[in-house]
Amino acid sequence: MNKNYSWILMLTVTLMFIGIIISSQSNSVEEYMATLEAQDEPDLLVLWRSNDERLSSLQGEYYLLQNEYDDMLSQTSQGKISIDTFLEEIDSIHVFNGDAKTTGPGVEVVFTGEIPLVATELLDIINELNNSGAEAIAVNGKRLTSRTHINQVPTDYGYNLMVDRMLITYPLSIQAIGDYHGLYTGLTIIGGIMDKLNSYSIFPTISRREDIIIDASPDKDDYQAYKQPTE
Amino acid sequence: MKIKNVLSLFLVAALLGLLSILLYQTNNPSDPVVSENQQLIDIITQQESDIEEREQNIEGLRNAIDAELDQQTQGLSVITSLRNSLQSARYFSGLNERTGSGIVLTLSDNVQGAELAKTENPDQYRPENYIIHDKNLLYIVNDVKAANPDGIAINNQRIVSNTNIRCVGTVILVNDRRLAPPYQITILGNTDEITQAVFDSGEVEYLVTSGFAITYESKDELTLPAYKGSPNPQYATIYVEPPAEPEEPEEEPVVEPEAPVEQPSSPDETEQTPEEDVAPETDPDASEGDTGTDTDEVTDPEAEEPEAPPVDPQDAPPEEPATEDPAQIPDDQTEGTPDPDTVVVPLDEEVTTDE
Repeated sequence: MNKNYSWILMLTVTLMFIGIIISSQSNSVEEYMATLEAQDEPDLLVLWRSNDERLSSLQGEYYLLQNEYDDMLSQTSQGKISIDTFLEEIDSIHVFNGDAKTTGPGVEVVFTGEIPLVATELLDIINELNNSGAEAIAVNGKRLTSRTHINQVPTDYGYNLMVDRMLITYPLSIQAIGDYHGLYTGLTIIGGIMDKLNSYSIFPTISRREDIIIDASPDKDDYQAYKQPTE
Repeated sequence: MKIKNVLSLFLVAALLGLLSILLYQTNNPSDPVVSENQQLIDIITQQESDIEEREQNIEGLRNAIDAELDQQTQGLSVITSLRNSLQSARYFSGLNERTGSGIVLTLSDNVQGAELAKTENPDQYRPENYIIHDKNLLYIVNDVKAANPDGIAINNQRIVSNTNIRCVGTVILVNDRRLAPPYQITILGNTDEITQAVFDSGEVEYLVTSGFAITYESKDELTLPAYKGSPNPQYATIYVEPPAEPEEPEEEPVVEPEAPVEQPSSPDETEQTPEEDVAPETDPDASEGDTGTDTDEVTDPEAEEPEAPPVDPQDAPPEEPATEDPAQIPDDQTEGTPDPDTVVVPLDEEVTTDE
């Protein structure tokens, strides 16, 4: 009896160990999947390139700020103050945020609507344009911002696409400002979003344009509500 | 009996040993392919630490500039108001930290489901069905925007106007930064509305029914980090209205009657010669010949319609009602019909993706 008891105890302890190891194994696999070691060489190359681009963009930003700071200090030493710094930065941020009417080169993607897009497809296209470096995007003239919500609303005959509660009709035009080679390549890359749409018989027209003009986002009321940022 | 005990113990120990080895290998992969990639991995790791360092430098510089501005602008009301505009612009574009109430939505891979599938149906086991994908995050972020939140971040990456969410292999990148599970989506704003948006989200529902662990927690004080990237656009600039055209001294053509005989030679020549030159030669196949002449020909006839193409007609009053009407987008933006605002690159660069 005593012998049996010790045997059961031993087995219980062993099984407990096995359980702990299995669960920690699962967690390790989950974490491992997101590590660099778990990635293939082509994926690592993509990561390397993406980091490289980000690093050079940050480098540019750093030098810009450093110059701004140096200018500011030298002006202060001369007892001057320039408002150019403010104005330039405000302009940049307004372009970035969609608060200013913006222009630049880029691409325009037009859908005729024979086969309508669903909201997730529109989101995928916009995300792909952002991946490819778009600096400003508009759908049927409506500038997209960080708060833009895209959805579809069912109707009697199907559904309507909405961007920030604005009804999107066809022809649906997506305009994106940025490096048009990058934007075009991002959209048409093999196995990318255009291939996916083509498989649903959706064949948009992609035009490279020199001078896209995108209106400012009309949602500016936030600025009036602004008081003071938290420090 | 004793032998049986020893045998069972041996089997259990062997199993234990096997699992330990597996666990060790997972954490310390010494696979030759992994070692081959090691150099690349080291470079990427170095890049990531450089990026982090650069981001910190940038943040430091921004703070230094702010402090300097504060000092410079004390008592200067004009500058102070400009400075407030700048701060407000930064604040609303995600370039500053933001604090407030909101919820934290945590998404984890479906580890249990994966284990179960692996043991019960190993042939049909697909690991990608049990991990959170970039699209899941993208769609959830979009869904919660229905609640008009004050700001969103995923694992400390602030969502801004040009945030991209994508995956490379099994890694999800947000703002080009590599994220690891679990994914925490922090949403600031009206807690009730956000919660409702989360419950209404088709993507959240899909993940829950697929067995993914999703938790949410509402908090009174949450802080969203500032966006660390550069807000300075390289291609986009503020649109400047072209100077208003001189009123109507265009009446010069009135001069025409003055010299009716000369008319065919001077004024017409400028407009018609190209057409006349091209027409006899290319007319037969006038469809899609060489790009240069084609675009010219297309623009000529249309140039009559928008003869006075006011680039963007009456945008001068800044407070126009929101351009809610999608009909304002001209239909003529497809190929071959360049609109006067935008220069379409020759037809060979115009691509329709159909076959």
